[in-house]
Amino acid sequence: MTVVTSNKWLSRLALAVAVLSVALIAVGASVTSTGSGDAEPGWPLSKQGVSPPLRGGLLYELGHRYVAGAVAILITVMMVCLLKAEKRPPLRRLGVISFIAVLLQAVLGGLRVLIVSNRAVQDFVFRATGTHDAEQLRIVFAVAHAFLGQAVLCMTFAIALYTSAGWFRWEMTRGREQKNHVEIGKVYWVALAAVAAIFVQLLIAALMRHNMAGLVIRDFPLSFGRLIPPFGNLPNNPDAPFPISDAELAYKVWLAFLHRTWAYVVAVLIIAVYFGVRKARRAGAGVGNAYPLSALAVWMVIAQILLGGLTIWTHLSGVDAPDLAAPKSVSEANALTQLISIAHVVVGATLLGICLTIALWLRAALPRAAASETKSAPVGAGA
Amino acid sequence: MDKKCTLAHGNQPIWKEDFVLNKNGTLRWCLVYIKNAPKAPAKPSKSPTFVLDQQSCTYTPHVFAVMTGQPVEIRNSDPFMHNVHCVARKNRGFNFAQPVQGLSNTVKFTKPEMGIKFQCDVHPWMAAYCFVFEHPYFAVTGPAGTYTIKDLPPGTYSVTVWHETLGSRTQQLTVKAGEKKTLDFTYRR
Repeated sequence: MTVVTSNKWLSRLALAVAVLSVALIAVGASVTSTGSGDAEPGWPLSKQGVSPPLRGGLLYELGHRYVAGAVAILITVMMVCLLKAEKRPPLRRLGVISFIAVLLQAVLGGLRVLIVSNRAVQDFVFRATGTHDAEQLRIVFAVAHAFLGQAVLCMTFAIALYTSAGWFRWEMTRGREQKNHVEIGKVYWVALAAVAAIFVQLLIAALMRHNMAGLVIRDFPLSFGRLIPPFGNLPNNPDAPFPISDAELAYKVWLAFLHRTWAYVVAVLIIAVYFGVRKARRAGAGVGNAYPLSALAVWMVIAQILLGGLTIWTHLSGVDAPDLAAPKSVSEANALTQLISIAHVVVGATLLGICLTIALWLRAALPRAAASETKSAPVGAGA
Repeated sequence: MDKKCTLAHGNQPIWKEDFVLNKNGTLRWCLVYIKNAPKAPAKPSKSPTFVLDQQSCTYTPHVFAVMTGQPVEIRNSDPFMHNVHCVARKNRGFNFAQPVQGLSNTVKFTKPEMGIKFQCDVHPWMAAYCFVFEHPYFAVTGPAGTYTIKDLPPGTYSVTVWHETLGSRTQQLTVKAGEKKTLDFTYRR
């Protein structure tokens, strides 16, 4: 058995990349919430030369590109460091996968911009997909970009965990702590389900945001004054300034309602993880840092639901009678609503990273025999 | 608010134009059009070029209508960049930058479409709405809140008014040859 030790600088780099990835999600959310995604029609270079002014929508869009560039450079450096210094093959592979993912993410971001602004790209994608609706394609690229962003975030959290000093300390001692693996095995699967549920929730959220359906239901926690929206009788106004079909309205309401409902599924799973980890810990099982993280996750999911509610409530407090004539997207909402919606996205992404970290701690806490039943060796098992 | 915009606007605040009440209590930027109008008597390609200008970080005019095939020249009269982002569904949308003062691009809309939004994503308050018809029977209310639709053939029509925040209202109108008629619309809040 090879003894693997922590590399102080690699650990710090991985942590910095994980933190910066959260910041990148925040800046990305600000682009959507302020409706600035098309402020710079050029990609990868600006149409305004090498030093475009950072103001208005350009501040958000170009700021997003700059932070993304910094994250991409750091992920590249991290991959090189992992390939040179890391002895665990799965972690080396994860470094390479995160590098490929961040490149793909940049391309998706570029396609999201160019599908609106570049005729040649439009024509190529139209031919390739058989569709001629640039707006629909814009939404597809935007949702894919948002979703892959969460996947990259997960990879950076995993690398940060596996390279951390705390992980190595626990690796050295966990042999003595492998008790009560039945309890750990159960809660591990619940934690995995929570990660999957958050991923699904973020996909729904991305669909909802990019279809401008976030504020289509104007009350919370009820929906149109009821537990379940009246899908067959939605208040669609044909005389609204920008009328939409009943089917389109129903689709938007479905997305918004699904996002709300699925939030409770996520909350229940996270609470179940917390109690499961607590039970295993009380039974004497070693769970690493999963316990404090699961407690943090419970507080975060409560905050997240409140932030979701605040997005609706602050939007309603900021509109007057004429505004109620038509549903508005978050990008058309007031600044406070935009700020809260950005916080909502950031907390959601961080919650995903934390739940993944909990699942990884629990996976490593499983006894070797139990862990091997999952068909792959844990990254922390050593080389 | 962008300092350059404020300066270009004579250090005056720039207001969104989604609800402009005239001094006489009427509404500006209401589009009035004939819903069931006959098609254009003249070829659209002979229509004059319509100019949409970006001045002091506002679109001028805020609401306008053109005929299918009519050239629309989009100008930037400001000494800094605007992006011209056209969100169309039936026609082909576009987004281009006009980083220099005096730049202009000319576009055409080939299909009738309601409420095509022009926006500058650098300056999020900047918006204009374009309506594309196959006939010339439309008008937009100005500072007096009035409108005039000329040369409407005799017949019974649905006349619709559209406002960006208040929505649409429709009334029926019958006109005879050579007849002048007045049709008022009222919004209640």
